[in-house]
Amino acid sequence: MTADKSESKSAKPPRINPFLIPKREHMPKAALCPWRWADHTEFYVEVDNYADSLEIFDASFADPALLQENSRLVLVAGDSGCGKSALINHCVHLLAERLPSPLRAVPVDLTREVEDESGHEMVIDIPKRMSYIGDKLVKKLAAKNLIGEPVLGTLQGLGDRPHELHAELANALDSKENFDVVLLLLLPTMELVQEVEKYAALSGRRVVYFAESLLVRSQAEGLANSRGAEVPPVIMTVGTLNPGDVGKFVDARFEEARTRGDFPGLADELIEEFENGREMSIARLQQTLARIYMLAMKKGEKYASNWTISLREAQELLFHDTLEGNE
Amino acid sequence: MTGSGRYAGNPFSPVAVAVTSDTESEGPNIETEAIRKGERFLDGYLTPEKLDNAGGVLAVSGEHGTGKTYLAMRLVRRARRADPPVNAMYLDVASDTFIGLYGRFLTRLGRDAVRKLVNDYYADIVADSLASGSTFTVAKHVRSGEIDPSLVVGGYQMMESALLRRVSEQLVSELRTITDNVAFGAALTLLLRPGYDDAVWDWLKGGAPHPALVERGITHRIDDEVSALDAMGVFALLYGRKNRRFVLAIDEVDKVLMSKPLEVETANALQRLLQVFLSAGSFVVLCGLPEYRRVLGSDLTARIGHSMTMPPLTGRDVMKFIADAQDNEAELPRVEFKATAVEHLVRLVDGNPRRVIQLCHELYRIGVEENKSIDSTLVETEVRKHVDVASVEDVTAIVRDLLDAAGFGYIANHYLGIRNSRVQFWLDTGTDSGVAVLIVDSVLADDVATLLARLNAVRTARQAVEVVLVVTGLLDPATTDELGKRIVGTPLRYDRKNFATDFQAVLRSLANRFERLGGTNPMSAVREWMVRLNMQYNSTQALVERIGRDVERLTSDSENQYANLRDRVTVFNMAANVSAAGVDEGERVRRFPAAVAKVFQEALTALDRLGHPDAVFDDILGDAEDTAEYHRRVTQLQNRLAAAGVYRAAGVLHILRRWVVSFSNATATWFVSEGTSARDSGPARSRFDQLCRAYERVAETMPLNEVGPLVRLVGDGTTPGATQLSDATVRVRVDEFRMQYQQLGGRVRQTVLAELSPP
Repeated sequence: MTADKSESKSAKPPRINPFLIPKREHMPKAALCPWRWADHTEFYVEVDNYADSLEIFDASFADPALLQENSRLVLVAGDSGCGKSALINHCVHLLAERLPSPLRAVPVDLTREVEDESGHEMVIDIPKRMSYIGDKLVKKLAAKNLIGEPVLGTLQGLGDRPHELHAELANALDSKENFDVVLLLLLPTMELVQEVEKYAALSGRRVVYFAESLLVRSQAEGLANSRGAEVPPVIMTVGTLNPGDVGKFVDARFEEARTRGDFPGLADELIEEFENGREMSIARLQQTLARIYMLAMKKGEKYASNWTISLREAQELLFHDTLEGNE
Repeated sequence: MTGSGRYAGNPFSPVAVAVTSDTESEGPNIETEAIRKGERFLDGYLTPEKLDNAGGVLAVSGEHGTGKTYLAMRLVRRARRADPPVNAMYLDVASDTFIGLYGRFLTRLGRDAVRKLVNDYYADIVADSLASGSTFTVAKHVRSGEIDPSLVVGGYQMMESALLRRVSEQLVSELRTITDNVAFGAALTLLLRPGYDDAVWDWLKGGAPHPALVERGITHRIDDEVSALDAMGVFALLYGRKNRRFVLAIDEVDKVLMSKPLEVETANALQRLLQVFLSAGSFVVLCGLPEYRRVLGSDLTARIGHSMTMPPLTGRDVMKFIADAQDNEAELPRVEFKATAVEHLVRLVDGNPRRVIQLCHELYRIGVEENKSIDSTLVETEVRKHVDVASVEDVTAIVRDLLDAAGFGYIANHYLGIRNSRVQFWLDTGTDSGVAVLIVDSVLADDVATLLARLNAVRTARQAVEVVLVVTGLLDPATTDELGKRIVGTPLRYDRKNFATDFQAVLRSLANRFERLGGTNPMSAVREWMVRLNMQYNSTQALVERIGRDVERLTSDSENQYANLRDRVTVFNMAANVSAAGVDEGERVRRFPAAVAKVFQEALTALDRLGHPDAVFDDILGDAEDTAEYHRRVTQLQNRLAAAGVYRAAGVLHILRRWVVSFSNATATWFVSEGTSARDSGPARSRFDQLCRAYERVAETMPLNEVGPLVRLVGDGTTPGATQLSDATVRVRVDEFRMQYQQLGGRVRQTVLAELSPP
């Protein structure tokens, strides 16, 4: 064989962390976001009741063209770390793909827009939050060139009357001949039932509100019959992993990662520990595994497919790292 | 060795009030058996060998000035110095409700401390969640507090919302021993959630719940006695976790227990609270006037492990205190206090520590200024001057009111026909019998012979006479045996608070005595009295009205008043005008604490009320008319203004006023520039001490006793029919005034240090 052959024979595969998303290694905690990065769809794993949730979503938007007449609220409820954001992002992506021509989706991310001037997060002041969100929404629409003067001024004047503002959104889009735009608004996490009800009751056209909330299942499902809403909200819930989900997740990540690089395996006892762990959420699983691999990689030469990380090794890695105050 | 004659300071506090700030008292302590006993009880609780983690309740009772607060603070400081240190809090009941007490308790606790208590629960729950597999070792360190749970929750992407839900559930479950109200569990958990803590704290302080809290089941306010007590129990329980020790001293507890009858629910809640404190392993010290022990029912009393009554000081205690105090201030001249004088002093003031210390202050000053030793004569003179006395005239008026209120006939100022037999009140009970009420000011050893002669005269004036002797001032206990042979019971010592009740009791006893003598109709009349006797009259109120009446007029536009107002505005706005020299511009100017400004404000207001003749002048000029009466009033004012010492008194008051205002400005300047450095002992604190001392030293040398003529001018007024102040009343007002301004330095110091103490 030529030198080329001999060079390719000796090239080692790169060391990778199979639990970090390629090109997003610097954002280990960020949720999958296929509406931003289409390749993220490959990384979804059907754990918990994910498949059921997508079914609910599909059924609710079987005819997305109806959005031309009504707006709608999509609520994903569940404890922190159970995949609410990832599910919402997936739904946004699916809906954007599904909209029939000539409709086109414009996602607007407002998930981080509730810090006031002093940097404090507004949590329980609902009127102030909705006013703030409305203001940010209008600015973002203007920045995307979806609305212009004088409509911009009109909408800004409705800052403390969110019901009216949202009712005018479609007209505002139309005034700049964006008749085809369907806004997919990603709202900040909501703590209170009252706030969800307010968004569910907003009238308007061509807007889908995506909200996530820490409400428990019973509270969320109770909102399905929200009296103020013309069109009932879509309610999905997420929760902790089911038995077998840990193995499923690890296998899926390993399978995808093997095409990209080299990494050690995980001992069965370690996987079993995760399976038996209390309140194991997908985020916790993913983050812990990503961290174990990151710490193992730092350790050096041993990091290769011929190494299986044991339970004890994982414990030591995590313990020392936590003591040092690292995340 | 006696003083040099140059008075430059005083080793005895003029205030004689226990320092309740977190700073240690820097003066000499009075070590008594009561203090040692209290400390023994506390040490029993603090001992590391104590296995059962049970708490304790110590009930301390005693009259005003007997050292209850001092004991409470000693115990609190002792607990804080223990090894390991114990969280300890001193709380005085400022209002007469448990709601008020709870509010102060919560403020002293502070939001951060409460959040930390709840965070402990969170740490345990997080640790439970981590306690397996790869995170087992991390769990151990979270539980021990070495690693903050929120750090781990974020780092491991744990289900924070689910974990917090478990905190809430656990809190609700544990708090069920105190209250069925699940709100506390939910609310306390929300303190761990950013964005909620303001709303939660407002609710804990008694505010209406924010809609966000209502959504979580927190619907009722903490605004009644039961919920306030339950809330305190909640915090007691939180404190008691993990064998944490907590010492709580509640002072003036009589205020809240005696203000109105305890309702059953409140009493049950209080019992629950004490039980929680006990179960949580806390040590509670309850201090108050003796009456509070009587209103506690058997269930509450059963919770009290130890009781003690503050005993009077002994001569030996005071001798040691005097020696220690002078040793503590070795640079000041030493004054000899003779042992007999100290024993006499203790006897005359019933061993009351506050009075002892205040009198030592005065006696020391005299000893230095007049270069003499302190003997019994001097003690007697000063005690007469400084012990809270009422005049014979004032008490006579009070007795008159009591008898009038009860509907009894009497003859006032009655001469019984024999030399030396005049009595203030004579109540006829028959043709040759009756009750005499004799009111005298003081009864000391020298007075006994004269008084006995008078009593003998009264008793022999009729066939059957019973004498009630009322003493308005000092009573030497050594005289009571001899007197008791000639009067009903023992001499009745006048006491603002209790006189009505005591007088009533004495008159009741008369019915029994006359009955034994075989009296019939006349005595049945006496018995009838007793049945009808219903003394609801408040003698304290009467005396306050008589000798403490203030003329309050609204005046406007007088230059003096404007200057006064300007001074007061200056006091309140000190921080606006005073900026810290050398402090960075970016640093916020610290506001002068309202509590300290209020001390100065009150001092200036009292000074104005006492000695400003504006109201008198306005009265005269506002009533101008062409009548003989008006002419007489103007003449009267002329004469009063011409009375010796009026203008001098005005000068003294003016100088004092300027001195107080300068003191306030200097205090504000110091506070803004150095206050935060003075939380602990050090140069900043020393400078402040010297500032207060400088004020005291100069105030003490001001001839404040000379304000009497102006006090009389202002107090008498010129309104037709106004009662003139008696000499005794003027003297009392002047003494109160003098004490107030001489003690102002101590009060300001105490208040400032309290403001600087951590909450």
